[in-house]
Amino acid sequence: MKRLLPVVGALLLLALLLPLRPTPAPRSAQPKVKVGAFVEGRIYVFVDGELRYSGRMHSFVWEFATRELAARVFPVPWTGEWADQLLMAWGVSDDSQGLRAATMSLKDTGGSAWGSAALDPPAFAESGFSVSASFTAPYDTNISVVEIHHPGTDVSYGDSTVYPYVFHELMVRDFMGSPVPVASGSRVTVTYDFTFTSDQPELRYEIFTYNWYRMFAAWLYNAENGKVYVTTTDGSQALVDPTRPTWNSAARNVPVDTYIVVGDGQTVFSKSVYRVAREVARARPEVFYDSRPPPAGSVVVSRAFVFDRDVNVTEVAVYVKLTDGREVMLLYYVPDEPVAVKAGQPFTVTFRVYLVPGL
Amino acid sequence: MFKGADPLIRAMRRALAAAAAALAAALAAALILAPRGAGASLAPTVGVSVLVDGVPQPAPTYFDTATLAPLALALFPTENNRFAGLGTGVPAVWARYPDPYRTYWGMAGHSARAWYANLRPPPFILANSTGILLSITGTLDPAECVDPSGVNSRFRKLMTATRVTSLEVTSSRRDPMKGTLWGGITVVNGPDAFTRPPDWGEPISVVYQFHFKDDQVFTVNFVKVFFAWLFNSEYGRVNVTATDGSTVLFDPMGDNVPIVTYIVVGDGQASFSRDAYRVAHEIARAEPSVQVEGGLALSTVFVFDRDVTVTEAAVYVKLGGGKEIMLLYYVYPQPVTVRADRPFVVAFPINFPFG
Repeated sequence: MKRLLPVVGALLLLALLLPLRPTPAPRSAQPKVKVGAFVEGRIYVFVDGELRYSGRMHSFVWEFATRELAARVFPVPWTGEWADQLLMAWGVSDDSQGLRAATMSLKDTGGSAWGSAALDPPAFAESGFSVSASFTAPYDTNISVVEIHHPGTDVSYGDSTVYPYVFHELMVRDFMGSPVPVASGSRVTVTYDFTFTSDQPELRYEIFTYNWYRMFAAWLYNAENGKVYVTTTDGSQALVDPTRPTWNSAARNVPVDTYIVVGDGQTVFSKSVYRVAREVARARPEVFYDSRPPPAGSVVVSRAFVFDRDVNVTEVAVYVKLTDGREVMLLYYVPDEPVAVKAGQPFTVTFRVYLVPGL
Repeated sequence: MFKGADPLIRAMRRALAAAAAALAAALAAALILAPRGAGASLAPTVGVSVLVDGVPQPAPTYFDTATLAPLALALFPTENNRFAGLGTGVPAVWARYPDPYRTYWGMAGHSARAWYANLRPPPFILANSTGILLSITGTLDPAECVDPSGVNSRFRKLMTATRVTSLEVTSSRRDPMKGTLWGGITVVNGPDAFTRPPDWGEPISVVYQFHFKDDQVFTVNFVKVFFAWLFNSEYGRVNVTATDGSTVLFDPMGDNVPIVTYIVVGDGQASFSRDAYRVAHEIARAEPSVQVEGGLALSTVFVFDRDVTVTEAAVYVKLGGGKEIMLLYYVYPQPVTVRADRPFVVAFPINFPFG
């Protein structure tokens, strides 16, 4: 029996140690930064100065809007055929007649449009920006549907000739929870508050800068009334101007190239930041429009980096280069903890912007 | 430029001694050319690995002879094109013409169908004493992935695919005879399967890492030119350092690509550096012969009219713009005394293990 004791003891010890075996290492140890955030907001309807409707907007024409946002705000050469089309180019030409402004339209429960007006210039605030338009009801009616359009350009072909034409692209459509009755002669003001934070905790990343607010507004308007100023990475002010002299010329000053920028500077997130604290590397990303149906429609900006030395990443950003050559930081993210990346090890950065889809 | 000779020389001695036996077969051809001469015996190796979302994949196959021939013709042209193993009409020349829709190259994942993603600069280059790592990265489009829920009819046609079965890297080439596109060269074929089926909507990060392993020989210039050859489009434009120390744009879309190749030997006080851009003191140069069978090798024979002490050897290419760049460089562990009128062989074999 005494001889068996050491064996039994050893077996017991082995049994105790078995649970202490190291757990398998995760299959992927690739460091990465993967962040996303929603563009969302609320819609307000005022009739003769009285608030008659307030509701969450649910809103963008999901397939078209995500594709446009990807192609125009985050252009990358040779993104693909979808980004090379004139349809995906910024702006509307100076010689177009009557279609040079972003507009809002109101429809009744029967689907008849009874009001259309140019949007007022965007009004910027801490959390986002507002767009408004005002109408006078021509007769007793109601508001059941609100739409925002912006101008776009396409061409048709015939007899070896290219015929450009300008049309209004439907970007936003909202259905009222219950129609808002409007009496003839009433003054109606409809306001959209676009906000850039999310009430979904898992997507509540701070990535949007004030520059993003302005660029997003310029994209939403895509017209004369959508010119905005942004702060470039050298601290100067640049006018983003989506208009173009002729239908087949480039827009005057809009994003023409995109970079993901990685930094290792000492920094904290702020919406007013206009450049990374210290740039380590940059590269053109791959840009996708993920046009899946609600609620997942988004634009994806992603790129893998490989550094030639160990880097502690403290900041990542998306820059766009404007036609005039200056650069603008649109998205910015500061991880809670620096991300340690070893030399030669792939490091992936992915930004995702979700549009609150409506259709 | 030529710092730190002693540790490198010691390391080289050890490595060369260990590699000597394995290299004997590769060197035999060169030594036979000059049985009485002293030869430079080098065997750098090019390999490749693939990571998908950071996960190493099964070893891909790559660089068969059909790929090496265009590589040799593009990087190491000689006036007589004395390439063994080359057929006619090798589509190896540089893109030269802006052709944005056809000169891109990309990665493809095959399942029920293939999809492509353009690969974009910059090249990520990490150089140290054991070699150079060239990383190229790409991201596959989440919108092209399979929708496992099958909710979206737009993507239902892809539902037969449940996982990506392979990747490949191809590069478009132009037929020098016809001036038209020849089609793609499959540089890397594989891995045969993803270890991770794509999540619906999530971008797939793919990183190909080319390993240029040696004790010496590969310079950063070489890896940059290799990158330019891979991309062979405007995205392949890359700055390199010329032998006069200036920075020049190596441009696959223009005329600043290799037009002549030389093996250069020198007798300067030199030490190897990845950033080296010229020999310390040149004493002779000659056009090499280029072989592409079973690997890539450049070699030539020098005969001097006086006794010389060779300390270094290199491969230079002259660009269309007139500047020269040094692509390969080797510093002998000990100076080699070469008697007058004795043949002296210099060979630069590069191993491509074909996966």
